[in-house]
Amino acid sequence: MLVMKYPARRRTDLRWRIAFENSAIGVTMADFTGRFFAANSAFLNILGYTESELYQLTVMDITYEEDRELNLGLIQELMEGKRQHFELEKRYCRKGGGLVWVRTNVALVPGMGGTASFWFAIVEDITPRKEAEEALQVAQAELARMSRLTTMGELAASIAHEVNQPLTAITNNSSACLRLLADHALSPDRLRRVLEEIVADSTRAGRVIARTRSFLKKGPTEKNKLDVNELILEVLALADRELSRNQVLLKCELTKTLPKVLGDRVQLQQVLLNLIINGIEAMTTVTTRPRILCVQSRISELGNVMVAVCDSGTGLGQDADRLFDPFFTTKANGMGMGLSISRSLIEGHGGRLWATPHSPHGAVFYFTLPAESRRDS
Amino acid sequence: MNGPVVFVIDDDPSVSASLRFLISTVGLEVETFDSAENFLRRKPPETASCLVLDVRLRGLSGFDLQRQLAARNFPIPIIFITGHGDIPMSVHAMKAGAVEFLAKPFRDQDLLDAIHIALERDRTWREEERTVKELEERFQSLTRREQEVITMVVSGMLNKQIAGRLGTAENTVKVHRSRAMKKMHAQSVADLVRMADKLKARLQKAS
Repeated sequence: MLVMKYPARRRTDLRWRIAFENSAIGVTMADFTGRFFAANSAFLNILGYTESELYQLTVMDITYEEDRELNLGLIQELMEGKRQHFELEKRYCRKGGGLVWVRTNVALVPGMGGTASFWFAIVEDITPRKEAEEALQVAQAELARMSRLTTMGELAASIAHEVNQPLTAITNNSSACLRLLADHALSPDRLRRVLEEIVADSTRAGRVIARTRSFLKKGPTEKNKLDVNELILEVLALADRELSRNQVLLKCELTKTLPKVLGDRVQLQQVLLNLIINGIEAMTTVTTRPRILCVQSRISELGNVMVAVCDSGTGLGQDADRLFDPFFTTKANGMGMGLSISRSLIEGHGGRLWATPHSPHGAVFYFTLPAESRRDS
Repeated sequence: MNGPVVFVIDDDPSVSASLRFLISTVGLEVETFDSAENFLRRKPPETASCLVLDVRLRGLSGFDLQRQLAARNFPIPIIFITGHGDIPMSVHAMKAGAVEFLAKPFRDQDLLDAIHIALERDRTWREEERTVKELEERFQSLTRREQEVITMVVSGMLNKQIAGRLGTAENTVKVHRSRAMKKMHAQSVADLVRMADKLKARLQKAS
């Protein structure tokens, strides 16, 4: 029996050997200290090393500095027997510089008989996917910023034109009356007719403004049951690039068991993104203390869902009570519509939006949204 | 002769009516139109006139109308009014010969001042047109020989040289010359040169 079995196992070994060598996915083994002792050509290609060069190195030598700690933590858990294997997306340093994103699947193969235990890893190059993801995030962030600007810009331009027409008529009619009065040439009859026109034009201007308000409040909205925490995480993902570009430290303190709210996802995202971008922009001049942006979700005393966006920026200063006025801005390239529109949107959801100073530095913007269950009752 | 007319083109009826009222307070006649097309259907005015023109109109825009009027050699002075003017827009309008570019709402005095300037410009132009036309008629009333003689006079030739060129006696030239001067209502040769300049400018413009 033994004699029969031996060649069969040899054949299986050979098949494994061929599969290992020809796999499109990197396969490697390292000893207990992390030093490589086997690798297929796919793995070598990912790193750009020759086999003999690789065997001089350990896993940590080729792991990107920022990813080492996370990697070591997982290795530790594996050795303590807390898990059988782990999967990690991390970066390798290629030979001669340059980083490559990989997904590694690592297992500890226990020693048997004469062989010592060793690390076994399957490694896939995921750089193209990672690059695509990053590009997508950049594109999404740009899109969000663009749509924020264009909708507000277009809105302002159309309000300006619609209100301008009746205003022009009112100005002309009033000026003409003043001229006639100065010449004692204005009959009561004529005055009455002109005043009626002035009233009609004023009403028309008022209607434009009322329409704008109701557009902002109700608009073409689509109300769904929403998880506010999910919403926050989505917006933070959009703001991620902006946060890292401005070296802002993000703290996220979300209360796990939040009631759902009824709302328009896009509108609420716009409000949140607006508050976060404002927070980041308030900290651009801060250099003597950490730039910290903290986003919290919790249940308010009245049982509503409350979100706070808190920064360590320059604070509200003298202008605290004008913040929400339309066209009020402290930014060189701002239009001063962001907070005004945000407040309208939140009020359209039955909530409130307000700001308070944050001690010792910065500001906190809060908004509340009614909990969905409370609405039913 | 009728007084000057101000044409207002604005598709907003309230704005249009208020402009009529305002402009009428200084004693000017006003005609309003709700589109550029309707204005073009009207026969060109005989008296001094100007255009108060909204930039954004249904159909032809204010700028389109400005181009069409220029193409028809109908140089009526234009005052643009707009609810959303920007600097490039106003530069464009002014370069194309507009008198003024006003953002709505504007001060009444600014509009009325612009209208006065525009009407004055149109009056001057009409005056010029009339003079040139008259000169043309006078020139046409000359005989062929008289026309030849004064053309040479204007170009700076002496009687003797003209006689040599035409193959006649110097005295004959003198007669033609004095008759032509009289018919042209020219007091002096300098006067005649000025008239010739005006006619020449007209001929150049026409070609």
